[in-house]
Amino acid sequence: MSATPDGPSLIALIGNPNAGKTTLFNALTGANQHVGNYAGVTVAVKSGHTYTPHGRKVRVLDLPGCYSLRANSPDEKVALDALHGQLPGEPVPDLIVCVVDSSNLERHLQLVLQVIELGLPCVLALNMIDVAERNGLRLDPVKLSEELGIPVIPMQANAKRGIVELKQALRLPRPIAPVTTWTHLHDDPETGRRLFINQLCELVARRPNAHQQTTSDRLDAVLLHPVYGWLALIGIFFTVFWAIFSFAEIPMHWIEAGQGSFGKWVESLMVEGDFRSLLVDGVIGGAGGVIVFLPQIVLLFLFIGLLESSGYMARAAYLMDGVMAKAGLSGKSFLPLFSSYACAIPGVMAARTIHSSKERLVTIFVAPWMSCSARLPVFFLIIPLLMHENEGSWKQALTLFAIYGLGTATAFIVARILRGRLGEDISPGHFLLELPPYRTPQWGYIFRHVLDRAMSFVKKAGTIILGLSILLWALSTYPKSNSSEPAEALAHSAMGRIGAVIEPVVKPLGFDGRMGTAILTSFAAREVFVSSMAILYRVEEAENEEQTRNQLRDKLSAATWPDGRPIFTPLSLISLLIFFIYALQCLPTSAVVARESGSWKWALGQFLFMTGFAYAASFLVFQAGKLIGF
Amino acid sequence: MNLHCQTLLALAIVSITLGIFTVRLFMPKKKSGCGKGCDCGKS
Repeated sequence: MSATPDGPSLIALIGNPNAGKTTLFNALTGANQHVGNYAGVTVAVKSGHTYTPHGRKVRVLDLPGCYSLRANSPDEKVALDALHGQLPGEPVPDLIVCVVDSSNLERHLQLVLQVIELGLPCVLALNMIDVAERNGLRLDPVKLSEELGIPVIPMQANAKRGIVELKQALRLPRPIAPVTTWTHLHDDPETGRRLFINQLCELVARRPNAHQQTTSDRLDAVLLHPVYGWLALIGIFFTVFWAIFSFAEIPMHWIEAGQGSFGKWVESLMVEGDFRSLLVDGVIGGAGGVIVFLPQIVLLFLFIGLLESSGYMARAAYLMDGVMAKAGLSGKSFLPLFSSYACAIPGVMAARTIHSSKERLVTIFVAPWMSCSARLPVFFLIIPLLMHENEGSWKQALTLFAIYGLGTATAFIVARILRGRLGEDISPGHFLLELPPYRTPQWGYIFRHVLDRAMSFVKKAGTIILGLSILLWALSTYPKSNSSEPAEALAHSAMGRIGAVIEPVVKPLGFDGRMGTAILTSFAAREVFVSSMAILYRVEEAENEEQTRNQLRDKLSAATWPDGRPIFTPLSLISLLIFFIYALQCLPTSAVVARESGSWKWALGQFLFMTGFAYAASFLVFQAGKLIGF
Repeated sequence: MNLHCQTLLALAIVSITLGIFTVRLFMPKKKSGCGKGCDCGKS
């Protein structure tokens, strides 16, 4: 420990999952860590700084949620290691702030007693006091403090209520809580704790209307109903997809119009030449072509944030437990898999909350098949080509829903097979899920999280995608031919030559060399596919001067094989969609899988399996479609 | 800007981009410390 005479210099926040530790951490440190109204959002230790009322700097550790100190899963072990000072470079904390959900005191106190037994100085943060009050629960913090022998601070972290009082508690060194009285109540320490908590709750908590149904109870009667619950689940997720397509249309139109006008303006400033071509075709057409999908990405994260913050996500996990069981997984895998719809990396990391190592490995293996947001630009490019512009947005939404469904269903089937091959666990685990009360979404956190994601997308477009677009432009421009015919110039370029080499490999999937090249570039980052297509198909762009919102789509629709047949038929587009649903084209994901699974072989096996599967599935779809006359 | 200058400028930008990618590829990676220490897990 490193406590100074003035008070602690390192504090750790510990508590059950979904007790509001990260919300308190953000309130204390001013950080913007991801929070959600469900268990298991935090899977690693986070560090920040806060200041006492006298301006002394105190370091704060936000530990992953845990129900006990038995270290059943990797994230719980991290929390326990932190308390024992066994994390690399971290001493034993000087003060433990036990964060509990006041409306659920009975269960949350179990962990508090275990922390007190460790002999570390503690403070109890009685969080979500507003929820307890709304539920008609009357708590006596003074009595609770007397019985436990530690300071108790009622608080509402999301409204920053009680933060000043908590900071006051950091002013002076805290004595270690008195030796426990509950250990004498029973031979079994767990039973002793339970008996003590029952007595304690009788003393400090009163609920006059204990049998009255809360709003959450009434909502759950519908949303967890075996029939209506499923209808609601499908309805909610379909509405999300529909809204992404419909609401994003207007801002996308603005971006496209702005991008088109900007391109024309740059073109009018310079005489024809390589630099102008690089700016217009490479930079504006390449990186700018990806930025157009920003509104849809923003909407996706906004809806995910709303579902998480309201408490619905935990209900979705509860409903999905049965489906998960059929895939050889449990409801514990739902949240990692659902997180993967946004990005596979946090999804893979969230698998740390799974107790069974075999289930964890299987979840990590199939997580990249949950269509992540990086695939969205590709889907948004292809789906309207497949559906035609005059089709309603609900049909496009239905197609996107089906794409997500196909990826998810395949992930479940493969998980089932893989789980069967790995064999049973030595000690079977049980899925315990806390259903938090429904809450008003925390708009501030949601908007900050969405802004973070949007900035990260723009940064990616402005760095990696911009760089790759410039290199792709160079490859499709040099070496130069003497011909003024754009198609011949492209065929003579390095990219044209690469395309010619790749074409025999991708032709059985219905793709030409340019598509093959674009797919090859998308292994660096999936979104690059869109900019690669914009650059590689610029032949048609030069011929087509009209400024329509579907400029690239028009160019793709007009692309033909040398014999005049269109390249982008419904069958080849479906084949392309299939390839992108299944291929693992994300190096950072492979790196995280290697770290989380502890084996590069596992990551390499996953990459080869998924890419091979994508190729085989596209091949089968295209060839079978051709055979039956499509 | 004449045609020759445009080609030179374009080639210079492409070379710089290629250089940045090459340097980044071989630059030692900063360890995030996720799973063992702090400042990780930001989803």
